[in-house]
Amino acid sequence: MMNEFILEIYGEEIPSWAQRFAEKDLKDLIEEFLILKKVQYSQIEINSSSRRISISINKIEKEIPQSVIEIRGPGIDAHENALMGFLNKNNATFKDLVKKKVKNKEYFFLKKKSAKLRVNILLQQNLPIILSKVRWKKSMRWNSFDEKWIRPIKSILCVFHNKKIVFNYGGVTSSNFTYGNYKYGENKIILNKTNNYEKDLEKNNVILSRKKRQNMINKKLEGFCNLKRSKLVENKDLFGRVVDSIEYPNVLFGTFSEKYFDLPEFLLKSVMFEKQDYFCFVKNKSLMNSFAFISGKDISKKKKIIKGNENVLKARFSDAEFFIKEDRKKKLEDRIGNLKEIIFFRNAGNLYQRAERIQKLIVFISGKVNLDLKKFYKYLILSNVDLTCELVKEFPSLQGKVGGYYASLENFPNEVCDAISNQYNLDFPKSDNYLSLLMSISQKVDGILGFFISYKKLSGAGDPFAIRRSALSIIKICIENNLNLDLIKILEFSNKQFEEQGITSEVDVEDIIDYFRKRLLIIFNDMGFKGEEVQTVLIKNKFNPLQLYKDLKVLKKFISSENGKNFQRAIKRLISINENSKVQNSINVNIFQSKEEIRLYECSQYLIKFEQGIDFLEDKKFIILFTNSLNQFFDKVKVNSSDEKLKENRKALVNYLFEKVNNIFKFESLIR
Amino acid sequence: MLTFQEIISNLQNYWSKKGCLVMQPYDMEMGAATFNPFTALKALGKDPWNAVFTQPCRRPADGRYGENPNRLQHYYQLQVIMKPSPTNSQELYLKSLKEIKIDPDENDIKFIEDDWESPTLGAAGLGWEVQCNGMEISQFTYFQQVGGIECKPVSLEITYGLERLATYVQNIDNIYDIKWDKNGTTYGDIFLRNEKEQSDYNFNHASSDYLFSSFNDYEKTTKSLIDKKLVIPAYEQCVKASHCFNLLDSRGLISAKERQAFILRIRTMVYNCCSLLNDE
Repeated sequence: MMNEFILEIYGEEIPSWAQRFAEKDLKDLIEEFLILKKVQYSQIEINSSSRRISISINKIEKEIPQSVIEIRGPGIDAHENALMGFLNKNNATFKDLVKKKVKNKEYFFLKKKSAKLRVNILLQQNLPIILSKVRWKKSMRWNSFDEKWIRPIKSILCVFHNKKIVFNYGGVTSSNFTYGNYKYGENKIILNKTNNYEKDLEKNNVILSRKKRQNMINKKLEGFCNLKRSKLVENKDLFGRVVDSIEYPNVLFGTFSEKYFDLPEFLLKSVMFEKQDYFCFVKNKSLMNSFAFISGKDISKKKKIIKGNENVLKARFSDAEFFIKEDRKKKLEDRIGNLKEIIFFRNAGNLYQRAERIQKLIVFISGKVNLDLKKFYKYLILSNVDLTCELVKEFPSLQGKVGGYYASLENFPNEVCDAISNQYNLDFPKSDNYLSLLMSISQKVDGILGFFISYKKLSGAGDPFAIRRSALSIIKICIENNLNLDLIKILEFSNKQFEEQGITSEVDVEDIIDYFRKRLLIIFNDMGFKGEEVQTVLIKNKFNPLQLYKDLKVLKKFISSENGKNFQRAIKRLISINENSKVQNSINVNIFQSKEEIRLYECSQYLIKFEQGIDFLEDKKFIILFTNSLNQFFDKVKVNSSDEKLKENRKALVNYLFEKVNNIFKFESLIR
Repeated sequence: MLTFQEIISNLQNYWSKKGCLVMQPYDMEMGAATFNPFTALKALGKDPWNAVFTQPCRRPADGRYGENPNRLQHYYQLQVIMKPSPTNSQELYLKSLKEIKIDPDENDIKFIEDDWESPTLGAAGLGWEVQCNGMEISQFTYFQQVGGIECKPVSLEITYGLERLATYVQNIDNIYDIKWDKNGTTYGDIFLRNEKEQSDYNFNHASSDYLFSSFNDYEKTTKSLIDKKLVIPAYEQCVKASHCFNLLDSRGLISAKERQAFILRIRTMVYNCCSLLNDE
């Protein structure tokens, strides 16, 4: 591809999360600028590595051609001086002017050809401004310079149609050269032809394309797996991190002593993934004692580098071993008191109070689904006691897992160990351990309420406290595991518990349910239900995800059936007649004039017996009767009767029906 | 093989050649060399400042009674501070490693993002943790703010964790086996007893009444010294208060909630010192 413009900012190591943000930002800013200035180009490509971010533009024109512009001058009745001033300012004469009407007033207009603009000059003037606008989330200053960037800039390459564009930013003057991978000597690369940019970098051990780096890493890892007949333990976050933390990916392999298999696998993995950025492998479903890591350094030095990394891993594992030994000196149940020392959310009590609430909430929910958890009761207070352990302090992401592990060493029942281990799991899988499901729901409900009690509302993007993901998870647990739970009751119970502990809660449960409704909409949309279908089943006063899911399935089938279509047409008539009508009186049965009115009234009485919308939809006989009664009523009876009394009575009947139907399902949402 | 004392002298010589004053340790208990007034206070203001020094550090809660091969409640940092941060900071650092026989051409040196923040100092900086073949050997930070005040020019702070570095350079697993000199004196010979006894003191015997009342005194004294515009003595009171807080913390005498309040109190003291200095 022919790249006529290349801009590369080369500097000290960029944190690996940052590149993708900046790439998008820089690209948007440059595109916005080019469009604003009407510069023609065909394609923009942006790339980055650990030390540079670069943008290439294909087929960008050198000059912006002339165009005719109109400048508005004074009104035609303005004083002569004003006109003279306008002409002088624009270096024009009277004959250059035309008259034009704007909003009933006539003005002089000057028609003028714009000058040709040289794009290189435009870029030179504007690139520093554009660079200063890149939002890095966190950026910094260095030395005595005012400009900010993610880390200090070392050089800027800026070439336009094979000529350099010179500007200053962050103490650096841009030029036509850059540097190769500094771990291989930081060779200076002078760019004589923009076309050779990527190739020149590659020759100097810089792989600019993320995709290419990804493929190189993948190939090496796959090669190892094939050779050892093993499988890579997938970890997208880790892959994303390492691919952006290098300029050239060398994949090296090391091993660790099998004696560390005495430690739980989740811990070994966590050390390798989170502390060391190592890849690990499984063979026949168990973890291998091999690991892979990405080195920025040439493979010829690998012996020393591998040995060093192996030593570090060994030290990390023995650290973990030490923590376990320390933690095991105190039994889980003896740690409960320490929970009082740890604050939950600001103004939402301590972790001991939270443990008590979770215990009670689990029992409350178990009553709703007819489960007897008596034999587990004494363990339920220990759900979060692992937060007092050294191992969790060292590996915060292992909360729960550590508790479950220690619980198993203390011979707690398997169900309890499993529940403690998995409670924080945000994409909760199906489980036949109901204790596990209930503990996870309780822990998350309590977490959500605690958050809202403390912080009042969610603000900003992202999900730092996992509130959004917790809500999604609760809904999914209910649906996937067939748990029939009205979350309003659960949230109300939970909220009451905070208050019983003397924690002031200003939370309105209805607001949180609204929050859940929004999450539910997302889940159901993903399942293929339309927004209006979901709205139809979402009625007030109840929020039972499983029931809603069942309702939706039946509703979806119903609305595409013949009966359903007829019913919707009849309901549409009901809704449109009811619209805008104000009802003052209640229904007077004694003044009904026709059998249509009486029959419709009978239908309304029958409607009362449906507790669940689903029962209504499944009563096919009644649906047909109701549909016919509605149609006959609207065909034969004039609601807007000249007799005021009859009119009011009929309006009352229509409105009454409308309300009754809406209490079952909000067909209103579906029909509009 | 380089001894512990050679590692220190080699690094000091190197940075001295790069224009740093070779300072001696500050005579106070502190959690990190950043607290040293020759780091924290010198990071403020416009005047250039280049210095290197070793600083004994105390982190009472990290004591392990001499039983953990990697953790100490008393240890050494070698601190380099350069203001303004040189434009070739990384190169200077990488060359310093050669002085202690870690050749960047032979080892995989990685700069891993590690932004630094000291809640008590009200200080923040951006930079990296430097890893050598997977092991953390230094912290590398560009100060952006100290005592709530923007740093301009920006200072560069490089901190070498000397014990960690020595275990790497000497290729050993246990800090207590570090060779301090060529005569066979080990780190354990000098410090093992200290670690055992101090851990016991930190965790079990530090007097809570004394610590709580001292903290209040330090706070009061800071205020009065600030009124008298005596920045350095006032700042020293903050350093004392901070160590006092660390001891209270390791004794488990401060609840999580109170913890925040204590941090805030120290920060306010430091802010006041720094803004006094900044006003000058």
